[in-house]
Amino acid sequence: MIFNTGAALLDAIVLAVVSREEKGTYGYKITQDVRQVLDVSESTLYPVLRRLQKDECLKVYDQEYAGRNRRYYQITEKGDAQLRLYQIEWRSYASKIDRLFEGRIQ
Amino acid sequence: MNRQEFMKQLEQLLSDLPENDRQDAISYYNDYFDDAGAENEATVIQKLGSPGRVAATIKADLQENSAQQGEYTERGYRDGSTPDVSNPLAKREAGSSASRRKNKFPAALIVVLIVFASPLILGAGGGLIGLLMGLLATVFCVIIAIAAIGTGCLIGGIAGIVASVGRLFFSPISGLACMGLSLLALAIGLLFIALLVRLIFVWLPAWFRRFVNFCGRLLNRSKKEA
Repeated sequence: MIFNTGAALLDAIVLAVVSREEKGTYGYKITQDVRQVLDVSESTLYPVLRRLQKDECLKVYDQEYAGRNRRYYQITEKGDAQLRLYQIEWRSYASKIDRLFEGRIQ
Repeated sequence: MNRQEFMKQLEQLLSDLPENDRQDAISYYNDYFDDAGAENEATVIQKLGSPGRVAATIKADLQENSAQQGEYTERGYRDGSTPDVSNPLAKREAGSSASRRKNKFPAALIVVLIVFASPLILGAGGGLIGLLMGLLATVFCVIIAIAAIGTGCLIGGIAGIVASVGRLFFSPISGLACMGLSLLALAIGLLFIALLVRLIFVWLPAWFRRFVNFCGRLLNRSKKEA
């Protein structure tokens, strides 16, 4: 991918990935899911998850898995609202760019 | 480098962070290695890059409330040139409601204009559509006529030839004349069929293309004027 992904878009993608799992999901899986659509480095997502957690868009809980504690991330109501806002903004942004590329804006 | 060395270096690099921030990061990357599984350890280390890079990414984010926020590129976190967007929610809401208000007025104006101009538009549009339909019908009729002439002459010609073969035995002269006329009819029929094929497969597409180009140019011009 030759386009850089800004912080807001990355937030939106992470929120979308996490919101797909009702019971929450964990860091490694989030990274792999995001990497299916976006070529981010594996170390990129920790700060994003942390920031989203600090902004109360995500909440975390620890649950035992295979004899150890695994940290799960779950979307909050605020995160859900933020995700919807991102989606609306994205559609408007993408459709404007599309119109320009297709020559419908003079 | 294996996992133990990687984590040890990372911990050292993060030693100047507050205790809970460091613990949080360390347990995240421990989780990460656990979930990737021992068989993927080398891949994970390779993909994470150096402990230094991971530590830099963590620290850069913790300093986000200072003057600037970096950008996540495909090569990781990049500090610098982008403006602060630490509160995208508030900013976006303000921005989008302002732009919505701006867009509403012209849209309403266009609707009003269309309503008032509708008799004119409908009249002119109706006339144009009628003209187009007429043209299409003419083309259609011409095609039908040519096809009818062609097939008529063809069938008549063949039938005439068959009939005149019988006639040749009784009266050779009228038989020959009959056959000649039939052959003429056959030739005319073939000519018209050839014309029809040419019309449908060569001329019509060419005219259609020219028409579309013309319309495209017309539209472009009006767009530029507007």
